[in-house]
Amino acid sequence: MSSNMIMLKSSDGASFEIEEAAARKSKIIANMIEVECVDEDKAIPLQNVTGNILALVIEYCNKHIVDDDDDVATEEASEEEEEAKKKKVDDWEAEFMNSMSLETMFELLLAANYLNIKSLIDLVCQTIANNIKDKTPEEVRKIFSIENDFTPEEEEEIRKENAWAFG
Amino acid sequence: MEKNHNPNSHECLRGDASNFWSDLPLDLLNSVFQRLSFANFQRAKAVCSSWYSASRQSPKKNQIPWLILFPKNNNDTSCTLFNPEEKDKLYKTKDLIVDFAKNVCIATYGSWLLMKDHRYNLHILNLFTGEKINLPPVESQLGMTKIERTLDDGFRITNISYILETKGIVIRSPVLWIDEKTKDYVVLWALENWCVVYAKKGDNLWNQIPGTLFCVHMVYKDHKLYFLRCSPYRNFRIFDFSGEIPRENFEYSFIEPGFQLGPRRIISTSWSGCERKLVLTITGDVLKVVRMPSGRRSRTKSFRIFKVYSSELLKKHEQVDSLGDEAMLFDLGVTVPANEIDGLNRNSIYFKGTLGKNTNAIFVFNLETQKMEPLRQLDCSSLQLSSARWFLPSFTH
Repeated sequence: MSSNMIMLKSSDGASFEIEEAAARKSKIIANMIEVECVDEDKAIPLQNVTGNILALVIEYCNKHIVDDDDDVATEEASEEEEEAKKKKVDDWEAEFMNSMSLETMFELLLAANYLNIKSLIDLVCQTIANNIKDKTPEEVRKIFSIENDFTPEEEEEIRKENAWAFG
Repeated sequence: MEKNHNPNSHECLRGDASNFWSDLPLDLLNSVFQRLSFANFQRAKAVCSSWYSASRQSPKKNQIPWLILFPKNNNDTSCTLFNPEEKDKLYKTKDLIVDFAKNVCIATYGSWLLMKDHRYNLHILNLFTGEKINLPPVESQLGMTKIERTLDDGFRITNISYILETKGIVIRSPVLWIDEKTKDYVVLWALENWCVVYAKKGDNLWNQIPGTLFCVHMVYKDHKLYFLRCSPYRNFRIFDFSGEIPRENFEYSFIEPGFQLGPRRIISTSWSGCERKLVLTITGDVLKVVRMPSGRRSRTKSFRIFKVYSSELLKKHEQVDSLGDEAMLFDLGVTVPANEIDGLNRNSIYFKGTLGKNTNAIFVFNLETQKMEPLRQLDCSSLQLSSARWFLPSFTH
């Protein structure tokens, strides 16, 4: 595994050093590395990501690159070990998502989308979906601070369309 | 997760950031919506106008089939819905129509039901909205075979070669297709062994398709009718419905495998007591599925599958050993994606049948192990499973 380090620079000027293998989790950065021969001394500027969000992205990438290494190293791991490892990752991801506010989650999702990190997009979307699950529209609005912009007539109409789901 | 949702953290989100969730880019919002079950998706639509309009454009997610259970007694006018994703929950539809229990559901398409009433008239009914579309009276036929209603509310069926007086009409292999947006529809069924009839939106009678004797089963997709008949020659046929009148596509005619072996062998192996159906796969292939009679010795090897149509031209009917990551709903004539999360077993066939004490229960046949077992998730003691039907709830409504 290459231990090349590359530099990333956030929109607010913070610099981060990250292993190339971890940075390659982002398809955008992986492309940059391939096409432009990233200069080792020069940081890659990421205009749409602030420092505090980029720190989270890097934490996620580092965690997952380590796990990928493990997979290669212990090819003959038993099913139980595999399961234990998967549980460890799941627990880490749950804790990771649990540690942030919904606002941070929103920005993290936009950053993951911009950097094109599929597994992180999936993780955040799943967390958001879990927050919506089994709740009434009123509860969802409250949790996500969304304004109800339907007219009473429109809302009545939508509810009538699918009355069974609100039972 | 809970700690994020205390009232204080909500306060932090107000102000500048207010309503940013309603402006989430469409593709990300869709990615969230696709992770919701059908019922949760319906509720999420009602959150705000931008989520609602996004839901209208949300690409169809992998569809999970639900079971619909019909009411037992006449006073009950709503149905019970079971979603394999939400094992502990049963939904009730709103009151659909009076006399629902007197009507029989004979086919489904998306959230639409094809219903037959006690006078053998047909209509289409939306399970969730209650919208009803009446179809031409069963005796309004255009073609060589005439149907008249007799004074005692039976029927007289007349053809060139015979006259038949009968109490009821055999409606074989009914098929429904409907477009959710335009409400264009096609309904097809076989009038006993004699011919296939169809009605499209705007028709006020049933059109008979010449030369469609001995229909065994039909499926319909993308304006094509796939037709299986009880005959050794050219038993699989395709009719194109994209034009004004259906046209037969002759390219795909095969002889049933095994028929070259001689007439006796054919009868004993191929056509005796087996149930045959056509099944559409996710990718658009058409399978012919033969269900062996369930009897003393056939606990194993209950199904045989042949691929009879694919986008690439087939030279012969290929036997299929595995469905891969798909599950087959034998009674619905389709395969669907299957994985643990959705509560469906991969490489398995779901079908209604009878085994030992379990009459009219739903069984799962695993193609890999060749073993059959009753559908576990559903505690059916309190439910009337004999009338249960699978349907694929459509996400546009």
